[in-house]
Amino acid sequence: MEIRLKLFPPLSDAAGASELNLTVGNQATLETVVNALVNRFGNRMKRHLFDTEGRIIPSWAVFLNQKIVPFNQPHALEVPVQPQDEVSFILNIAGG
Amino acid sequence: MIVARKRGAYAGNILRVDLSTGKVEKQELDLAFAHHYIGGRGFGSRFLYNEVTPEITPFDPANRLIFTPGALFGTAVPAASRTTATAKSPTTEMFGDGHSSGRWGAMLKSAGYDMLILQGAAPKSVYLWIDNEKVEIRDAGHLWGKTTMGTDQALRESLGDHEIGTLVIGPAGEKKVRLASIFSDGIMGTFARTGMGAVMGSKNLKAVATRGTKDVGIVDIEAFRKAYQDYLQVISVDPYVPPATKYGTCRFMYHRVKFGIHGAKNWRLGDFDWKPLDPEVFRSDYQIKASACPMCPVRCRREYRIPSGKYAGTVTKLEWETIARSMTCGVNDPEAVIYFSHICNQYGLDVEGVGDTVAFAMECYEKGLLTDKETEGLPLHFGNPEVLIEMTRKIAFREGLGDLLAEGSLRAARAIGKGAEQFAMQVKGSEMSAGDPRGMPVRAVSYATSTRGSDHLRSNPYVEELITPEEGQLFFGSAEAADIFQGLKGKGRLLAWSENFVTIGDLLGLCKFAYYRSATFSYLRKKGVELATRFYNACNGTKLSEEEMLLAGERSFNIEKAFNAREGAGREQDIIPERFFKEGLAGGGPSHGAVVDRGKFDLILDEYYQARGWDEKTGLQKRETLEKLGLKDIADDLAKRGRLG
Repeated sequence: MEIRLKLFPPLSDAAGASELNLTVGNQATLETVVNALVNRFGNRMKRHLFDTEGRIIPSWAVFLNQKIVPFNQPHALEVPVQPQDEVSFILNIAGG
Repeated sequence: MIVARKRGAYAGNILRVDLSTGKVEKQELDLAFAHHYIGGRGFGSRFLYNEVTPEITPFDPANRLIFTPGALFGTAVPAASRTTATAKSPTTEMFGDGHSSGRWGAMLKSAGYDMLILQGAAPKSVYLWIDNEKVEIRDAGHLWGKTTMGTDQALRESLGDHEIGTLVIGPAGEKKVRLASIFSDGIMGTFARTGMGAVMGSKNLKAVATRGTKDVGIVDIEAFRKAYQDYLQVISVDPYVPPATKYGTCRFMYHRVKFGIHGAKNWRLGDFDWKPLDPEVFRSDYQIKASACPMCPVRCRREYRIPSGKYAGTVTKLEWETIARSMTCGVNDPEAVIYFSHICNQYGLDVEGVGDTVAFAMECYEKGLLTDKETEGLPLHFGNPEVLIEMTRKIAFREGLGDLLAEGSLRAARAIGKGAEQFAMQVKGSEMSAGDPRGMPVRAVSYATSTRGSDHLRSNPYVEELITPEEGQLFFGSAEAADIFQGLKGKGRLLAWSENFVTIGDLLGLCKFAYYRSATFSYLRKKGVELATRFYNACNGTKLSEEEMLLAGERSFNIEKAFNAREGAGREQDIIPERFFKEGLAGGGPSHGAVVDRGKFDLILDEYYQARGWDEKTGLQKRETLEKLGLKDIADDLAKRGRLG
């Protein structure tokens, strides 16, 4: 199935686009989406999504159809996605 | 080439100038004092507490204006370029300080001084010229009335040295506008908040020009090199850094957009038509220069130029808060935002204080509390960029309604009456900054507990957004600390820790963005505590532990709290505007309808006071807490005044 992705920096720079469609298998979850992103864009994507210990960086917030799913919450990666869902990634930290 | 120095990062002297009498005093810096209070904000807070008692008002000549470069400023430590200015604040009438980048702090240390204490008031306008050992108070008649940049350029030309460091005020500081800032090296850096520019103006001091030719340095070069390599390694993998390098601070727009926490139109709207202010617009259409503060590898400084139209040719630096506060006034024209930044920079104003104060006036106008009579025909409608710009000019020069607004939103509201105070979005008299706290209770409490009024830089409330539940449990005693929306337990402990944590940066002169913001908690602690401590030890040949460094942060924060307690502040002052509790965020977006839950706010504040060792009921410090921090004399002073918890 196909889902719609919206990416913010630095992921949009790694993908070379701020919006794109991504194909994932049926029964996909947010973890599937993360892995599909890394498979498609390689290390330049992986280095922003995973820390040096290989753990997914918890400050990525995913908005699934405009509803936030913070990655620092238990089971966030297990949330299922449906065809034509809109998934956007933003680093969940401000500062200034 | 870096050369080892026995003395380390301290210059070794304190310079005190009495502008009333012209007396100049130099005093050796006690190294035991230095290692206890570290530097920067630590030195400033300690001296202010000692020398400015409650009967001294902000514009009293007896108020001090204390400049303290961070302990690592002037060394080769990356992103160590911050100086603190401390005084009793004209906006809060409590503890006040501002922090700026620029070259001036390094120049002061190279001239041989770790601290400049200014007291008294000159009988006519003057500037201070520090040329290594030579210190002179000079006439500034030819500078008075000039803009910040104009003053900076005139000083460099008249002194015949373009490499000097400068501190200047603009017309707003001269006129004691309570929202006035001090600028460093033209507009390279700004001591923005709490009205430090007005204190400088009250002393008839237009500028401080400084030339230093000595070195401060590093005792243990190998340890320094290793720490430097480790720092570069962390920032090379931290996803927090690339957007900073690409967009500067404009990048924070994306966070606000996704959470819908703009606070547009005087902190009422969560969603807003932000697209014209997309960071990519500033980058592609207006950016002319990407640069860095001294020694910083992150490079988030930006300069913009307006190529055409009514503001054609305007060139200025701009930070995120200018964009945010323009939206507070309902303005989303990028050229007007750049021009707003430009005039604040030139007149010497704090964009946050001015933006919120104009937004306050706009809401008063909307509600009929201000009319065309008071505004002299200026239609104070939200979203009108020309009104924002004209009102800013009037504030800088105290013209018409600008004279009232120059007092800041709280004082203006009290003068207007008729319930206007509910529209003044401020904490302790200082206007709001950063994003809307509704729906994020720990952020709300952090604005309330800041010792200098509303402030997102006095802590790191964003820690709750990046820790895992396991880290929440381990460091703050509860997995709930990691739950942004529903969590409660551990949040007060998290806030107290983060206040101590970011204070380290202000002691050492380290940039908050380069050390005290990160995408993971492990990167954050690595930079902000471990590497900060290693750099300090390498530079000074000391063996301070990370716990001792955090304790130094806690000590400084407690001195500021004690200063405010002595002025009469307690728990009732640790509060945010009622609007955040009572009015749901409007305008749509992900946080539509959100409020700050008062019950949660109070419970987090209770836990925060417990974590700090302060009395929950009064918010005042306990004797044992102050004594543990080596502040027995302050405990005695507060006890004498009945201000201990």
